[in-house]
Amino acid sequence: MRYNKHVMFMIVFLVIAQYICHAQQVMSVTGTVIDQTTRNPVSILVSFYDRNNKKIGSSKSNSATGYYLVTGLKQGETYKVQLESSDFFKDQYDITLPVSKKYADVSRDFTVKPLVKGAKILLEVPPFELKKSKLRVGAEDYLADIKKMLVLNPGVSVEIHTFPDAEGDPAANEAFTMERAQAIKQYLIDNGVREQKLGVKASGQTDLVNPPPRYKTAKGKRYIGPSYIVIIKV
Amino acid sequence: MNKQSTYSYLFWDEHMNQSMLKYVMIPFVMSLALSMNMKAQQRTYVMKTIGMHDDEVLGVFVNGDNTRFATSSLDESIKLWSIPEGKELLTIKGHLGHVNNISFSGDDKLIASASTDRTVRVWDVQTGTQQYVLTGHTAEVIGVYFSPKNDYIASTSFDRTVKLWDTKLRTEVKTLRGHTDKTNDVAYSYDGKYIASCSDDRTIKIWSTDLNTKEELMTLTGHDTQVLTVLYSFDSKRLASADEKGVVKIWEMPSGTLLRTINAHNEIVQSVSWAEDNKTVVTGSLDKYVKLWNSDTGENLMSMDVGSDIWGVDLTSSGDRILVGCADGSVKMLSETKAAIKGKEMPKVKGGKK
Repeated sequence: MRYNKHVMFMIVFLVIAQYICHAQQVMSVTGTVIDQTTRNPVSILVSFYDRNNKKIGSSKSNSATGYYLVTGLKQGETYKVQLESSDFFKDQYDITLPVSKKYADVSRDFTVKPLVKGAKILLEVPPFELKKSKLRVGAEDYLADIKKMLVLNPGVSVEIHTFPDAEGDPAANEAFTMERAQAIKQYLIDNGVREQKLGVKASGQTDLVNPPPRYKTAKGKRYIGPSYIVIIKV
Repeated sequence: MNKQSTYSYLFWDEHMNQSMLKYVMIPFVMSLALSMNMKAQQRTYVMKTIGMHDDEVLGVFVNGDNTRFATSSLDESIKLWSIPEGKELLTIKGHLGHVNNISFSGDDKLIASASTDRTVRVWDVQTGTQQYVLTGHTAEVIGVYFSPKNDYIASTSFDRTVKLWDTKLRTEVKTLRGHTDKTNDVAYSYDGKYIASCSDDRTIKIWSTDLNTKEELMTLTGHDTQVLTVLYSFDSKRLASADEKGVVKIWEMPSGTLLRTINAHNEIVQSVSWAEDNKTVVTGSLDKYVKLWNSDTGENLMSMDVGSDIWGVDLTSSGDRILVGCADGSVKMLSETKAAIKGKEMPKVKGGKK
């Protein structure tokens, strides 16, 4: 009986020791930060906060490579990552680090949006289907990023600029793209963005910067008029 | 008159315009052209527009006993039509996006549909009611196909995967990964042993239907652009594939040997189908032409300009009717003329065609 108690004690001890050992494993997060519009690397302060909002570590990304490294992080923990610079929109992300038995690097790249009046941010995944003005299923996933940007940067005002899928009657196209712009605006309002910060602009003609292709494309891969978020006030 | 014949006529008309000789030559040239045309056009059809969707028609599928066909559209609906009357029977709505493709179950009781809303939905053919929704793809679903015994549905998505769904459990049972770009279409072999998928990575992959085998059995290369569609012949001994440049390839299966390459169209070919003789193939293209081919010889049996880009095409088992889905929203039925049918041995209708 006494022997069994010792064995049990040893097992519990080993489990706790292993847990403590793992909990103390340090992790690092590395990656690059790039400008979403130009795809160029940027210099920006990357800070990690724990769940008590205590700053754990920070790093300024390299202006030539965009590379950053933050170390001294704990495995299994969730951190709030904040990106700050006077030239870019303040942004933040949550990262949960995996549990690992040894020291490990976790890679995470970030894109940031330029905080410049007149900057045009393309919604890279079109929130609409071909010829449709209602938001497509899953569009919320892509628009959530824009919503977050506007909520985190309350002083900024934007204009939603939408384009048609093809050339046609300019008036009809403009009415159609206005529906699209309003659909994006309504989504943002419904998700906590103040209406006063949002303007809309509908185009009756296709986008000159990103025009429709001259060749035909296959099913599901056809050109969809782009939508932009244009910075009006910073 | 086919395109070549028309060009021949115009050439002669232009060059002999100032000459009296043209009054002699033109009838001669035209009769020559017509005889060439008749030789090439071994099967003749008359075309009729039988109905419209509210927007572009993307998919067409004929059921197993050749009594109905279904169309799917950018207007987010599916329509059922009768054969041979061409009467619109039912409109099915429920998808939240374009309906890219459709497939009848082997017993013709259900239709599976693939949509940009990232779901596969299954519908009762009689009532049009939704039976269940299959969710799991992370991008729009572009291709869908019932297994011959109706126990599984295969689907392809722009998420680069092929998924198999158990129709009894109504859940995903297998994900096939291997394509390195968007997957565009999927088809079961009629013997139920294989699945073929095609992709923007320019390959066709052959997979086992055995649930424990996840690696592809074979990768077919040869297309030099994105492969948009694949379909097995009824005897499962051939596979037709088509690509963005309008090239159709015929493969011997299960060996995967390339039998024939046909420069079929001048534009994207988004749809092919087999007749029950296992050698006649129909193709539809964005060049507005629907064409019939003898896959043994590569001979063009019929060529018809339907006046609109074609996204979907299918035919009845004997090939006496060709159903076409067009970008202008129209659904067209091409019926083989009686003169052409007369004297020709018609194949028996096979149940559970697709």
